[in-house]
Amino acid sequence: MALTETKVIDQITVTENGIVLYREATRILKDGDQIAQTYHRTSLTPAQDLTGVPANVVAICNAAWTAEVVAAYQAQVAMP
Amino acid sequence: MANGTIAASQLEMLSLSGAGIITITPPATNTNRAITLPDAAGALVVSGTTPSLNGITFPATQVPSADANTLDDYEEGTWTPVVGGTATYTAQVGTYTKVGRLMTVRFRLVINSIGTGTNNQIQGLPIAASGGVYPGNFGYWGSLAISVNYLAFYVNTDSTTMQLVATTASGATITVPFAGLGNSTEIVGSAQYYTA
Repeated sequence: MALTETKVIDQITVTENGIVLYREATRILKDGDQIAQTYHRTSLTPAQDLTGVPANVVAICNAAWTAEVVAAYQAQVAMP
Repeated sequence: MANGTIAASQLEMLSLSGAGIITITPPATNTNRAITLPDAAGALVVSGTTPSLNGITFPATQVPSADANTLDDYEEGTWTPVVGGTATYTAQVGTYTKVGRLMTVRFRLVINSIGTGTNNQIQGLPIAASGGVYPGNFGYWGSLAISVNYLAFYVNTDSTTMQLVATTASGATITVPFAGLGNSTEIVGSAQYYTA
């Protein structure tokens, strides 16, 4: 019997205003069959520092966060 | 067995009444449970000598429904509350449960050094809020940069941030945003909000 743990980014979502949401699934496998799974979610707002963020998520952020998206988000945040 | 057909040996497991009621009964080796959907009253029924239903599993990726009477998602997990910038932390704990579009979050954040982090917001909600602002509550706070007699927050709409609000004296006008986070601040809170 072999227990192994794998972590994968199984979901990446970009909201209309440019927030990037991603979900990391931690899967426990017994002899190759999944027996348990947990989730950890993270959100990234436009222009946020991406240090430590997985490369595939960074690629999505860089594509989604155009200057227009960043400016619009910052304008939204500045609203009272 | 091909899709849409039932082997003769399995007929004992499935019955269909003239009223369109489907009853599924396990083989003779495990006859203590049966499931009927729907029963005469339109309900899903689990019956037998030891009826039990371990749970209802939804797809890992939600299949959204626009129907107001359809429950289309369930998920639980963790998230990491942050204040951004160069802040460092002693503790960052967050949990969430999503039922349909209703999100319930709980968090505990202990800031070590706030650095260039924001002093009036908590960021990093696991899923963006939608459709308005939502009130949140603190169950505990300590070592705020400014003394308060009331502290709360609201979840910003279309965002993953929580805005702190406070009053610093009895009867005082509420301060929004409240810049009360600082070095060694500890806060424990929870909120509910709708997602898109």
